[in-house]
Amino acid sequence: MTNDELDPVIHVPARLRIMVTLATLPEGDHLSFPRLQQILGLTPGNLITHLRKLEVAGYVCSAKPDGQSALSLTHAGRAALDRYTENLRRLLDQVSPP
Amino acid sequence: MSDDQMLDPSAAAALIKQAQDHARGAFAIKQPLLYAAWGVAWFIGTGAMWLSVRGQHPYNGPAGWSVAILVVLIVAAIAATVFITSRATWGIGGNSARQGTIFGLSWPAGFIPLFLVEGALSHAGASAAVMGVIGAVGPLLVTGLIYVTAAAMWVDWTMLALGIWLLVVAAAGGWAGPVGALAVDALAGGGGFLVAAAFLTWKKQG
Repeated sequence: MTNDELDPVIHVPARLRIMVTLATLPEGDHLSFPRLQQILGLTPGNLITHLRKLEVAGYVCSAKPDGQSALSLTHAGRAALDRYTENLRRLLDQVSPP
Repeated sequence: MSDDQMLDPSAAAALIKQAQDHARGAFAIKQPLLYAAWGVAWFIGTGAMWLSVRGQHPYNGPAGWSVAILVVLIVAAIAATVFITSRATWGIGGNSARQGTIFGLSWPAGFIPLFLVEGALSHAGASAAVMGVIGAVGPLLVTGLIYVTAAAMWVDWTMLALGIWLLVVAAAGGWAGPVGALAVDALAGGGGFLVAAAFLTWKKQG
């Protein structure tokens, strides 16, 4: 993937919504799996599948401080989402007339 | 749209905006509702107490029924606060949750000593009038100070303005005497909460 391309890990509706939802929280916060599921309205199996892909990419961190999954964006995840939105804006600017 | 299919750029931009708005709405504590609950409790509760003491010469203190109304309304406002706050924040952990816990603890940390001081004043022989004044303005002092401090943590200008207003109302209300202080409590204290609720609602719509 070049720097100008849309990151294929993020460029899927479910994963984009996961990333944006977690990015809404300030750094230092995390979200439980059931709350993320409630906000996104995804099935547990679907959510787990997408979270695993984001974890493998190093974008989402999953810890279990009190036995429950606590999900948050990593620094790399925030940077990737910033880069993604910047590339998206550039693409849309190219398409729309000046 | 399937959750697994690739997006075209404009759909992706729309999805980002929609997900951001949805998440912000879900995580936001409905502050106007909180202020309205406390405004109604304070306005009606202290207003009832004022109705029961107006015309007292000498001042004897509020009637039991009016204190009961205030207590019931405060319990209802606390229940509303817990419900509204936990509905927005459940599942969130980390720094924000720790800030929220400390903010929650600041209320008993402020009010328990206030009630103990009131007990000590009564024990030391303070008159009904003195007890009436401290009983009316004490809660506004504690609430105002907590709001001013919490506003610094969340950079919340409405909370700061409300906190300063409550401190001003407390300082001025004390000079109105035990009967007048209750009227000031109801109108300026409860009214302050209601104005803050109305302002935030207007700001959100505008």
